[in-house]
Amino acid sequence: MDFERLRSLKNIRMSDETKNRIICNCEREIKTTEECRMKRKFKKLPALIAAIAVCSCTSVAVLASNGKLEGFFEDIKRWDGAVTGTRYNQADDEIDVTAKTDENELRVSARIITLDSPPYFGLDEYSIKSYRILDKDSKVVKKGEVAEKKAPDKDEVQFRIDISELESGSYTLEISSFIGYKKADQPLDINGTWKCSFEY
Amino acid sequence: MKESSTRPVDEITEIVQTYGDMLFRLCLVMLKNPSDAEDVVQETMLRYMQKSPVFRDSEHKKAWLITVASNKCKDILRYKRLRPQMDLEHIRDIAEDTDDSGIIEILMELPEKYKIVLMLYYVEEYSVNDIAGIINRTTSAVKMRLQKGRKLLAEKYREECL
Repeated sequence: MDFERLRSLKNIRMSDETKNRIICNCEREIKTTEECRMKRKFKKLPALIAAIAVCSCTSVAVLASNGKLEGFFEDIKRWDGAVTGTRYNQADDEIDVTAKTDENELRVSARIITLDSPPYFGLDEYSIKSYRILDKDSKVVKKGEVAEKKAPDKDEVQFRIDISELESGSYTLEISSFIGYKKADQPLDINGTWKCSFEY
Repeated sequence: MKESSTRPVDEITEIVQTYGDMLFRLCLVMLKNPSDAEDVVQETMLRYMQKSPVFRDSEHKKAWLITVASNKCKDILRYKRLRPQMDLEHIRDIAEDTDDSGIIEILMELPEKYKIVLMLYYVEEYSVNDIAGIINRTTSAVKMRLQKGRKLLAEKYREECL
Protein backbone atom coordinates (compact mmCIF):
# COMPACT_ATOMS: atom_id res chain seq x y z
CA MET A 1 0.00 0.00 0.00
CA ASP A 2 1.24 3.46 -0.90
CA PHE A 3 1.23 5.43 2.36
CA GLU A 4 2.33 8.56 0.53
CA ARG A 5 -1.34 8.92 -0.45
CA LEU A 6 -1.88 10.21 3.06
CA ARG A 7 -0.19 13.35 1.81
CA SER A 8 -3.48 14.23 0.09
CA LEU A 9 -4.63 15.31 3.56
CA LYS A 10 -2.62 18.48 2.93
CA ASN A 11 -5.50 19.65 0.73
CA ILE A 12 -7.78 19.92 3.75
CA ARG A 13 -7.97 23.53 4.86
CA MET A 14 -10.09 25.74 7.10
CA SER A 15 -12.35 28.17 5.29
CA ASP A 16 -11.37 31.84 5.26
CA GLU A 17 -14.53 32.59 7.25
CA THR A 18 -13.45 30.20 9.97
CA LYS A 19 -9.98 31.74 10.10
CA ASN A 20 -11.49 35.23 10.33
CA ARG A 21 -13.77 34.07 13.11
CA ILE A 22 -10.82 32.61 15.04
CA ILE A 23 -8.85 35.82 14.58
CA CYS A 24 -11.81 37.96 15.76
CA ASN A 25 -12.42 35.76 18.78
CA CYS A 26 -8.76 35.75 19.81
CA GLU A 27 -8.46 39.52 19.38
CA ARG A 28 -11.56 40.08 21.47
CA GLU A 29 -10.41 37.67 24.18
CA ILE A 30 -7.00 39.32 24.41
CA LYS A 31 -8.50 42.81 24.57
CA THR A 32 -10.96 41.71 27.25
CA THR A 33 -8.12 40.18 29.27
CA GLU A 34 -6.12 43.41 28.97
CA GLU A 35 -9.12 45.45 30.07
CA CYS A 36 -9.63 43.22 33.10
CA ARG A 37 -5.96 43.61 33.94
CA MET A 38 -6.32 47.39 33.78
CA LYS A 39 -9.40 47.16 35.96
CA ARG A 40 -7.46 45.37 38.68
CA LYS A 41 -4.83 48.10 38.60
CA PHE A 42 -7.49 50.71 39.41
CA LYS A 43 -9.01 48.73 42.26
CA LYS A 44 -7.61 51.10 44.85
CA LEU A 45 -9.29 54.14 43.33
CA PRO A 46 -12.40 55.53 45.01
CA ALA A 47 -15.48 53.31 44.55
CA LEU A 48 -17.27 55.99 42.52
CA ILE A 49 -14.55 55.99 39.83
CA ALA A 50 -14.41 52.15 39.82
CA ALA A 51 -18.22 51.97 39.50
CA ILE A 52 -18.27 53.98 36.28
CA ALA A 53 -15.38 52.04 34.65
CA VAL A 54 -16.71 50.41 31.51
CA CYS A 55 -15.44 46.86 31.58
CA SER A 56 -16.80 43.36 31.72
CA CYS A 57 -14.89 40.11 31.70
CA THR A 58 -17.61 38.17 29.92
CA SER A 59 -18.96 40.52 27.33
CA VAL A 60 -18.27 44.02 26.17
CA ALA A 61 -20.75 46.31 24.48
CA VAL A 62 -18.77 47.37 21.45
CA LEU A 63 -19.69 50.62 19.83
CA ALA A 64 -18.29 51.60 16.49
CA SER A 65 -17.07 55.14 15.97
CA ASN A 66 -20.43 56.02 14.37
CA GLY A 67 -22.29 55.02 17.58
CA LYS A 68 -23.79 51.82 16.15
CA LEU A 69 -23.63 48.54 17.99
CA GLU A 70 -21.20 45.98 16.58
CA GLY A 71 -21.77 42.28 16.91
CA PHE A 72 -19.27 39.90 18.42
CA PHE A 73 -18.62 36.18 18.60
CA GLU A 74 -18.96 34.37 21.89
CA ASP A 75 -17.86 30.83 22.68
CA ILE A 76 -20.46 28.40 23.95
CA LYS A 77 -18.83 26.47 26.78
CA ARG A 78 -19.73 23.18 28.39
CA TRP A 79 -19.76 22.44 32.12
CA ASP A 80 -16.07 21.54 32.08
CA GLY A 81 -15.02 24.63 30.18
CA ALA A 82 -14.61 22.93 26.82
CA VAL A 83 -15.79 25.10 23.95
CA THR A 84 -18.63 23.36 22.14
CA GLY A 85 -19.72 26.05 19.73
CA THR A 86 -19.93 29.71 18.84
CA ARG A 87 -22.71 32.26 18.74
CA TYR A 88 -22.82 35.78 17.44
CA ASN A 89 -24.35 38.44 19.69
CA GLN A 90 -25.51 42.05 19.47
CA ALA A 91 -26.28 41.95 15.76
CA ASP A 92 -29.09 44.52 16.19
CA ASP A 93 -27.59 47.10 13.84
CA GLU A 94 -26.38 44.59 11.27
CA ILE A 95 -29.76 43.25 10.16
CA ASP A 96 -32.59 45.56 9.19
CA VAL A 97 -36.05 44.15 10.01
CA THR A 98 -39.51 45.42 9.11
CA ALA A 99 -42.91 43.74 9.30
CA LYS A 100 -46.29 44.25 7.71
CA THR A 101 -49.44 42.22 7.49
CA ASP A 102 -50.76 40.62 4.34
CA GLU A 103 -54.18 39.08 4.99
CA ASN A 104 -53.53 36.33 7.58
CA GLU A 105 -49.78 36.46 7.32
CA LEU A 106 -47.13 38.67 8.82
CA ARG A 107 -44.48 39.40 6.19
CA VAL A 108 -41.16 39.95 7.94
CA SER A 109 -38.58 41.60 5.71
CA ALA A 110 -34.96 41.17 6.71
CA ARG A 111 -31.92 42.69 5.08
CA ILE A 112 -28.37 41.93 6.19
CA ILE A 113 -26.59 45.28 6.04
CA THR A 114 -23.03 43.99 6.53
CA LEU A 115 -23.24 41.17 4.02
CA ASP A 116 -19.51 41.19 3.25
CA SER A 117 -18.40 40.81 6.86
CA PRO A 118 -18.32 37.85 9.23
CA PRO A 119 -20.50 36.08 10.18
CA TYR A 120 -22.71 36.85 7.18
CA PHE A 121 -20.11 36.49 4.46
CA GLY A 122 -20.45 33.05 2.93
CA LEU A 123 -23.74 32.16 4.62
CA ASP A 124 -25.81 29.87 2.41
CA GLU A 125 -29.15 30.44 4.13
CA TYR A 126 -30.68 31.90 7.24
CA SER A 127 -34.01 31.92 9.03
CA ILE A 128 -35.68 33.30 12.14
CA LYS A 129 -34.78 31.09 15.10
CA SER A 130 -36.81 32.79 17.82
CA TYR A 131 -39.59 35.36 17.74
CA ARG A 132 -42.45 36.53 19.95
CA ILE A 133 -45.55 38.51 19.17
CA LEU A 134 -46.83 40.70 22.00
CA ASP A 135 -50.18 42.41 22.24
CA LYS A 136 -50.70 45.99 23.41
CA ASP A 137 -50.53 44.81 27.03
CA SER A 138 -47.11 43.22 26.39
CA LYS A 139 -48.58 39.75 26.74
CA VAL A 140 -47.03 37.09 24.54
CA VAL A 141 -49.72 35.84 22.16
CA LYS A 142 -47.55 33.82 19.83
CA LYS A 143 -43.97 32.62 19.74
CA GLY A 144 -41.86 30.25 17.77
CA GLU A 145 -39.44 29.97 14.90
CA VAL A 146 -39.67 30.23 11.14
CA ALA A 147 -38.63 26.99 9.47
CA GLU A 148 -38.35 28.45 5.97
CA LYS A 149 -34.75 29.36 5.12
CA LYS A 150 -33.73 32.13 2.77
CA ALA A 151 -30.47 32.86 1.02
CA PRO A 152 -28.94 36.19 2.09
CA ASP A 153 -29.34 38.90 -0.50
CA LYS A 154 -28.22 42.51 -0.76
CA ASP A 155 -31.93 43.29 -1.03
CA GLU A 156 -34.34 42.16 1.61
CA VAL A 157 -35.73 38.65 1.97
CA GLN A 158 -39.16 37.85 3.35
CA PHE A 159 -40.19 35.41 6.02
CA ARG A 160 -43.81 34.59 6.69
CA ILE A 161 -45.56 34.05 10.02
CA ASP A 162 -49.14 32.83 10.15
CA ILE A 163 -51.15 35.18 12.37
CA SER A 164 -54.64 33.95 11.52
CA GLU A 165 -55.31 33.02 15.15
CA LEU A 166 -54.71 36.57 16.39
CA GLU A 167 -57.52 39.02 17.02
CA SER A 168 -57.53 42.41 15.37
CA GLY A 169 -55.38 44.93 17.15
CA SER A 170 -51.93 46.39 17.62
CA TYR A 171 -49.01 44.05 18.14
CA THR A 172 -45.26 44.05 18.43
CA LEU A 173 -43.02 41.48 16.78
CA GLU A 174 -39.83 40.77 18.74
CA ILE A 175 -37.09 38.73 17.12
CA SER A 176 -34.29 37.63 19.45
CA SER A 177 -32.38 35.31 17.19
CA PHE A 178 -31.70 34.43 13.59
CA ILE A 179 -29.87 31.25 12.61
CA GLY A 180 -27.34 31.08 9.79
CA TYR A 181 -26.45 27.97 7.80
CA LYS A 182 -23.30 27.24 5.92
CA LYS A 183 -22.19 24.01 4.29
CA ALA A 184 -19.90 21.90 6.51
CA ASP A 185 -20.28 24.36 9.41
CA GLN A 186 -22.45 24.16 12.49
CA PRO A 187 -25.54 26.42 12.34
CA LEU A 188 -24.71 29.77 13.91
CA ASP A 189 -27.06 31.62 16.25
CA ILE A 190 -27.14 35.33 15.42
CA ASN A 191 -28.59 37.07 18.44
CA GLY A 192 -29.89 40.56 18.95
CA THR A 193 -33.10 42.46 19.53
CA TRP A 194 -35.36 43.47 16.68
CA LYS A 195 -38.79 44.98 17.32
CA CYS A 196 -41.49 45.93 14.84
CA SER A 197 -45.00 47.13 15.47
CA PHE A 198 -47.85 46.10 13.23
CA GLU A 199 -51.62 46.31 12.99
CA TYR A 200 -53.80 43.33 12.22
CA MET B 1 11.57 28.23 27.14
CA LYS B 2 11.13 31.79 28.23
CA GLU B 3 7.81 33.62 28.17
CA SER B 4 7.33 37.25 27.38
CA SER B 5 4.26 39.45 27.86
CA THR B 6 1.16 38.94 25.68
CA ARG B 7 1.94 39.17 21.99
CA PRO B 8 0.72 42.10 19.90
CA VAL B 9 -2.80 41.51 18.68
CA ASP B 10 -1.97 41.88 14.98
CA GLU B 11 0.32 38.85 15.19
CA ILE B 12 -2.72 36.59 15.48
CA THR B 13 -3.58 36.98 11.78
CA GLU B 14 -0.13 35.86 10.72
CA ILE B 15 -0.07 32.85 13.04
CA VAL B 16 -3.55 31.68 11.98
CA GLN B 17 -2.72 32.02 8.29
CA THR B 18 0.62 30.21 8.67
CA TYR B 19 -0.28 27.36 11.00
CA GLY B 20 -4.08 27.23 11.06
CA ASP B 21 -4.55 24.67 8.28
CA MET B 22 -1.86 22.35 9.63
CA LEU B 23 -3.37 22.34 13.12
CA PHE B 24 -6.89 21.95 11.74
CA ARG B 25 -5.88 18.81 9.80
CA LEU B 26 -4.28 17.28 12.85
CA CYS B 27 -7.23 18.06 15.12
CA LEU B 28 -9.74 16.88 12.52
CA VAL B 29 -8.07 13.49 12.28
CA MET B 30 -7.89 13.18 16.06
CA LEU B 31 -11.38 14.42 16.87
CA LYS B 32 -13.23 13.44 13.66
CA ASN B 33 -15.39 16.53 14.01
CA PRO B 34 -14.68 19.80 12.16
CA SER B 35 -16.35 22.03 14.79
CA ASP B 36 -14.30 20.53 17.62
CA ALA B 37 -11.20 20.80 15.46
CA GLU B 38 -11.83 24.52 14.82
CA ASP B 39 -12.36 25.11 18.53
CA VAL B 40 -9.08 23.44 19.41
CA VAL B 41 -7.28 25.53 16.79
CA GLN B 42 -8.76 28.66 18.35
CA GLU B 43 -7.78 27.58 21.87
CA THR B 44 -4.26 26.81 20.69
CA MET B 45 -3.89 30.20 19.00
CA LEU B 46 -5.22 31.93 22.09
CA ARG B 47 -2.76 30.11 24.33
CA TYR B 48 0.05 31.05 21.96
CA MET B 49 -0.95 34.71 22.19
CA GLN B 50 -1.40 34.70 25.96
CA LYS B 51 1.57 32.54 27.01
CA SER B 52 3.78 34.17 24.41
CA PRO B 53 6.67 31.68 24.60
CA VAL B 54 10.01 32.48 22.99
CA PHE B 55 11.11 29.99 20.33
CA ARG B 56 14.50 29.02 18.92
CA ASP B 57 13.17 28.90 15.36
CA SER B 58 10.00 28.34 13.31
CA GLU B 59 10.23 24.54 13.64
CA HIS B 60 10.32 24.87 17.41
CA LYS B 61 7.22 27.11 17.24
CA LYS B 62 5.42 24.61 14.99
CA ALA B 63 6.25 21.72 17.34
CA TRP B 64 4.96 23.72 20.33
CA LEU B 65 1.67 24.45 18.56
CA ILE B 66 1.25 20.78 17.59
CA THR B 67 1.92 19.66 21.18
CA VAL B 68 -0.60 22.12 22.65
CA ALA B 69 -3.24 21.20 20.05
CA SER B 70 -2.81 17.44 20.44
CA ASN B 71 -2.95 17.71 24.26
CA LYS B 72 -6.13 19.72 23.97
CA CYS B 73 -7.56 17.09 21.60
CA LYS B 74 -6.76 14.41 24.16
CA ASP B 75 -8.59 16.43 26.84
CA ILE B 76 -11.67 16.66 24.65
CA LEU B 77 -11.59 12.98 23.76
CA ARG B 78 -11.36 12.16 27.44
CA TYR B 79 -14.52 14.06 28.28
CA LYS B 80 -16.42 13.55 25.08
CA ARG B 81 -19.74 11.77 25.56
CA LEU B 82 -21.09 11.79 22.06
CA ARG B 83 -19.67 9.46 19.47
CA PRO B 84 -16.87 11.33 17.69
CA GLN B 85 -17.81 9.76 14.35
CA MET B 86 -18.63 12.05 11.48
CA ASP B 87 -21.08 11.30 8.72
CA LEU B 88 -19.38 10.09 5.62
CA GLU B 89 -20.96 13.05 3.82
CA HIS B 90 -19.19 15.49 6.17
CA ILE B 91 -15.88 13.74 5.60
CA ARG B 92 -16.41 13.99 1.87
CA ASP B 93 -17.33 17.67 2.16
CA ILE B 94 -14.17 18.41 4.11
CA ALA B 95 -11.95 16.22 1.98
CA GLU B 96 -13.44 17.19 -1.37
CA ASP B 97 -10.11 18.43 -2.65
CA THR B 98 -8.20 15.31 -1.68
CA ASP B 99 -7.62 12.44 -4.01
CA ASP B 100 -8.74 9.73 -1.65
CA SER B 101 -11.36 10.34 1.00
CA GLY B 102 -11.47 6.56 1.64
CA ILE B 103 -7.99 6.47 3.12
CA ILE B 104 -8.75 9.54 5.23
CA GLU B 105 -11.84 7.89 6.66
CA ILE B 106 -9.81 4.81 7.56
CA LEU B 107 -7.06 6.92 9.13
CA MET B 108 -9.66 8.57 11.35
CA GLU B 109 -10.75 5.14 12.60
CA LEU B 110 -7.29 4.21 13.86
CA PRO B 111 -6.36 4.51 17.53
CA GLU B 112 -5.12 7.97 18.40
CA LYS B 113 -1.49 6.99 19.02
CA TYR B 114 -1.10 5.70 15.47
CA LYS B 115 -3.08 8.50 13.84
CA ILE B 116 -0.87 11.23 15.17
CA VAL B 117 2.45 9.67 14.16
CA LEU B 118 1.15 8.83 10.67
CA MET B 119 -0.09 12.43 10.28
CA LEU B 120 3.15 13.97 11.47
CA TYR B 121 5.30 11.64 9.37
CA TYR B 122 3.45 11.51 6.06
CA VAL B 123 1.46 14.75 5.99
CA GLU B 124 3.61 17.20 7.95
CA GLU B 125 6.84 15.39 6.91
CA TYR B 126 8.54 15.37 10.29
CA SER B 127 11.43 12.98 10.91
CA VAL B 128 11.16 10.18 13.45
CA ASN B 129 13.44 12.11 15.83
CA ASP B 130 11.29 15.25 15.58
CA ILE B 131 8.10 13.28 16.16
CA ALA B 132 9.66 11.69 19.23
CA GLY B 133 10.31 15.18 20.61
CA ILE B 134 6.80 16.41 19.87
CA ILE B 135 4.93 13.50 21.43
CA ASN B 136 7.51 12.93 24.17
CA ARG B 137 8.38 9.35 23.32
CA THR B 138 11.59 7.53 22.33
CA THR B 139 12.49 7.18 18.65
CA SER B 140 12.06 3.41 18.87
CA ALA B 141 8.53 3.93 20.24
CA VAL B 142 7.76 6.22 17.30
CA LYS B 143 9.14 3.69 14.81
CA MET B 144 7.05 0.95 16.42
CA ARG B 145 3.89 3.10 16.22
CA LEU B 146 4.60 3.94 12.57
CA GLN B 147 5.08 0.29 11.76
CA LYS B 148 1.89 -0.81 13.56
CA GLY B 149 -0.05 2.17 12.22
CA ARG B 150 0.93 1.36 8.64
CA LYS B 151 0.00 -2.28 9.14
CA LEU B 152 -3.42 -1.41 10.59
CA LEU B 153 -4.09 1.16 7.87
CA ALA B 154 -3.20 -1.31 5.13
CA GLU B 155 -5.33 -4.09 6.65
CA LYS B 156 -8.39 -1.87 7.04
CA TYR B 157 -7.91 -0.43 3.57
CA ARG B 158 -7.82 -3.90 2.06
CA GLU B 159 -10.98 -4.88 3.96
CA GLU B 160 -13.02 -1.80 3.20
CA CYS B 161 -11.88 -0.39 -0.11
CA LEU B 162 -10.69 -3.32 -2.16
